[in-house]
Amino acid sequence: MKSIQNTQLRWVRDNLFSSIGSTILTLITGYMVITAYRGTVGFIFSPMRQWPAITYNMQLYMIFNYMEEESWRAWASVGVALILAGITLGYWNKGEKKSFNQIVAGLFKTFSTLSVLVLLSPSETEVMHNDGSREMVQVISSNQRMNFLIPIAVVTLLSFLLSRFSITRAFNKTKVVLFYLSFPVALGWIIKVPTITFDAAGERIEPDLFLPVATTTTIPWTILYVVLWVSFFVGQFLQKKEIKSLKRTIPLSWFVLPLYLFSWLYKKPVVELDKVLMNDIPGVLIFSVIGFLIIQYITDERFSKYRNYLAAGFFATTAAILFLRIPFLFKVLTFSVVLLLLVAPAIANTKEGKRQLLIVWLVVIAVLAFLLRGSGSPTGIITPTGSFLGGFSLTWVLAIFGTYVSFPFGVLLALGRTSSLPLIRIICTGIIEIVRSVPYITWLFFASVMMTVFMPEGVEFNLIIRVLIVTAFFSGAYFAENIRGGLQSISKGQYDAANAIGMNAFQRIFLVVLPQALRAVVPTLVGSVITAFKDSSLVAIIGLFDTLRIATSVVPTQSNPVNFVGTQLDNLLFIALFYWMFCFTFSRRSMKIEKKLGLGER
Amino acid sequence: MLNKFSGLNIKNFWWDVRFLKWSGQFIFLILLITGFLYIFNTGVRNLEATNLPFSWGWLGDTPGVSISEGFAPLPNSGRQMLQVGMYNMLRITLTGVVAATFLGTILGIARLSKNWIVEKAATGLLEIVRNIPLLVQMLFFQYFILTYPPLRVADRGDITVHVSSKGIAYPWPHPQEGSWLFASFVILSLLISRRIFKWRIKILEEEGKEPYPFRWSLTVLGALLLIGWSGGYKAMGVIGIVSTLLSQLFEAVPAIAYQSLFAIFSLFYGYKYIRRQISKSNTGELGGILSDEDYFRMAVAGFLVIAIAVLMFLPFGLKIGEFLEGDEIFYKADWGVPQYFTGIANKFDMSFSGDPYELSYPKIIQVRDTKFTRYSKDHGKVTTVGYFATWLGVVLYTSIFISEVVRSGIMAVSKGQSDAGLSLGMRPRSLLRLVILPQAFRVMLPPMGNQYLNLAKNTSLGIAVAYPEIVAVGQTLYNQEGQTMAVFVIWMGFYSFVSLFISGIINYYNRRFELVER
Repeated sequence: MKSIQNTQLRWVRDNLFSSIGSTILTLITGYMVITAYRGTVGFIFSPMRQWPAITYNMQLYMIFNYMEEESWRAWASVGVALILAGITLGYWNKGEKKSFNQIVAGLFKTFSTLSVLVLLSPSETEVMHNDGSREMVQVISSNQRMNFLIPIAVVTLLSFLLSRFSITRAFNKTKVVLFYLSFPVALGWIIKVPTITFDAAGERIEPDLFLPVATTTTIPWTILYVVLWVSFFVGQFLQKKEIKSLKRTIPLSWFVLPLYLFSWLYKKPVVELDKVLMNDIPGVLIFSVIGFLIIQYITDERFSKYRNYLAAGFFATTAAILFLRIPFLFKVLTFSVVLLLLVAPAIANTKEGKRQLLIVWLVVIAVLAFLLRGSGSPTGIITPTGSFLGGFSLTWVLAIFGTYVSFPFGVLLALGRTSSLPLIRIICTGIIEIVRSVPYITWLFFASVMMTVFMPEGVEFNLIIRVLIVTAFFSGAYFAENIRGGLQSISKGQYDAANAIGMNAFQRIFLVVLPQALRAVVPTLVGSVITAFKDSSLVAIIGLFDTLRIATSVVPTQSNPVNFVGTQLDNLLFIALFYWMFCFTFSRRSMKIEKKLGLGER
Repeated sequence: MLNKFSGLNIKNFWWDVRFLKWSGQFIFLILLITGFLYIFNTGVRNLEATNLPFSWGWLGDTPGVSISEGFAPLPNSGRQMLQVGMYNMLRITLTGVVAATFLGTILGIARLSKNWIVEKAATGLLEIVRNIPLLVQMLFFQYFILTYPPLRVADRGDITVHVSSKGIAYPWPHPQEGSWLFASFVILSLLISRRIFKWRIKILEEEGKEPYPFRWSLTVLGALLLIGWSGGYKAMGVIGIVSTLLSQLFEAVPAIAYQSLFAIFSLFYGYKYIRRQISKSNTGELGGILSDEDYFRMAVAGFLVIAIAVLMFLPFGLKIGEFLEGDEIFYKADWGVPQYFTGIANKFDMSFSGDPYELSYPKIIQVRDTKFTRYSKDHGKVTTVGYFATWLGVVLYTSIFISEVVRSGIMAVSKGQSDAGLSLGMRPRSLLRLVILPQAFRVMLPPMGNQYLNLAKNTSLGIAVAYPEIVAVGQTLYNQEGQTMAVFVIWMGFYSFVSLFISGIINYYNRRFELVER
């Protein structure tokens, strides 16, 4: 025991009190941190706060005006995402284990910190009234403090005792994390929270009764938790079976997942069957035949001369039909044929390559047709604001789709900026500088007020689509600068090698240059998702009902049947915590990915 | 590939690489311009259909709105209203840049500290502020101030420091007569003390004695400031005399004279630039071959120079037209240069006396027998809710990113440098100042400039907290006048100008400090 104490005391002395200056700094910083903590806790537990405003309006925050009877779709969307997450976690599980002692030591650290925090929290805080008078009100009674402290102290003691034994049993790291997730789910069934209740006359009962959490919340979360575990085991099973093709399929599924959710599951499109029969099925059939012909005969010597003409021809066709009134599916598929023509010669050389390319082509056009049918049909969700997106679903859409559309645009701009042709370089540099020099909110005003002026007759885009177009330009320009750095880091030898084996410029860009450049900017891509997530809050200023606007304008103006006027600060604190949770998790994961990819290391 | 700059191949003209490259670029340019013109024409057509054609006339009209803060609460024209917006935005940008750099450097160094609690506290603050959207933080500060009690009639009178839901009031020095003289005197003193600092450093290099540069320069600075405060600032009245002379000079000379002088200088400089480009390619490895790049640059330079020359004469040309129509015999293009110098002379009058700045305490006043009370604008200084929320939000957010820049800059200096310095017997404090910071500064500069640009652009979120900066003012204007396109063009122009200005300063320092490599 004596040696342990000496080590810990030495650590304290070296890290906190190593010199006079260090001691002063420790005291000052410690005082500031403790005061800030006590102020925050006093603020949170003050009787002036109305936290039921948030629990009562949680559905408003998440899906805003979504139809009540269809709200299961929101749960289903989360469920589908969790299934994919579970399978991913299980499939790529490396089997890293955490020993029992490590787990218990971690628990001890966490819960001892929590008990210190509970002991440090204030019992009174100063409240200012409107007439300028201040009084001290009690925030945490000693009864409440004991209620918090006893379970935490028990767990602390238990983990301390258990750490005395050295047990070598080890558990899978991911399973441990999933097990920790069961605590909030279980707590939901056990604890009682202040709930807003109404009596027979429709009046609110004050003070709020302590009731268990509503089953409309606990049951779905429990089901989703079980689903997560089941899909984790499925993923592990698939890993054992060593199905190699899943290695590419699962990331592609992640890419397609938001598109699927927001054009089918969450959107509930009203599909017109005659459109399906007249447009989709003929289109898919025609283009699969075209694709088959191309893949079959592209490497044939008779047609090798005409390859470039064919590609140019299809490209010109795409440009020509872009403004005609034919189904969007055909325009997209024609453009895909161009890409196929450019990529096929390098892959369709062997019989195996031809087979795989054909399968990929068929799957791609089927998925495209499916998604475009969903997004092209009107939605079956009828809401007062006209859009089925609102609250947190809108934030997600803006962040994810914003990144999706800005990525290709950024790549094109970066390629143009590093081009050897001076005019194209000047134009792309000009676009990037002009777009970047103006703040984002100005572009949002442009999208909301001025873009309609520039559109020809009859063409009308939803405000959300306009915001996404503007985001494509803006984030794309920022992105282009980062990709440019990646592009410039590729050695000239790569270009020479690609030329030596006879690749043309497009093949070189898509098969050699871009994969290397983009690998270096993957951390920036994740950072860009985080930035898009934070910037999506700006649409509150132009009138879209995202989480922030609901927190500042919708909830604090509710006066009937519950009066939540003046709760802006509470709602903002909740929103801040909400955003913080997501952004912090993303940035942690991106740091881990960066370490895994070994970027920045020679 | 053969030398691709040999003469054009007549037989295979259409497939010559140079022709394809340039024709491809021109076709792309033409397509882009066509697309742009199409969109533009659609816009013009749609605008005309709504009875609100695009015009600039509203810049002169009086808007019927008042602005909550700025130098002209009741602007007399659209132009002045925009100027108030720009002034408000620049207020936050300039003070915010200084404060954010200061705070960010402290936080960055704190994150590298060996003290556990200091490092954890700085990292905690960084993680908290970085992961919450800036708008949420600004709104939080706004609503925080709004929870303070409002001003009541019973609070009337003089106060020292006061916080209410109208803002924060505190004492502040107000400039008196001699403030401009004193400010220029301070600048002169700073230059003199910097010169003395450099002189003492040179003595160190030549003689090896300890020169105490800081003690010398700071003592001189302090002494000069004392002299200046107690009346020595009047010596800067010399500037006023010179301005009066200059304004008389420009009064006498017609505008066409200095316009044509400027045009001649620009033509001369353009000619020299083109000659230098041509001669540069005659030497060196290229030996007489100019790349497309060089041709392009020369063409652009020539175009710019001729454009400047034409523009210089254009106002005169326009005025000639007026002269022919009107009945004035001799017309000067009026640029306002003499008045400008007279204005300077008025501020730098040598006969001013008294303290340049006087501390003034704030006051709460009642507005003319109504229940409405506010802080007096002429006493002390008031930080309104909008200014407080915008300034604090932007400074906190940007200082976090600057702390990251500082930290990565200091960590980029290899450990061998500090080892070498310590092994020479340097004290840790001198080590930081003489070895690490100069090298780190070079790495830090471009990302720091980027953060300054972000700060300038983030001030635009002031519209959400009711701060009347340029975006908010522009929105009010276009809601009133309906001229969204014009306001948008002004936004773009203003922000481009500010961005270019900040980038220019950063690039200048970048070039001064960058490593000169072989």
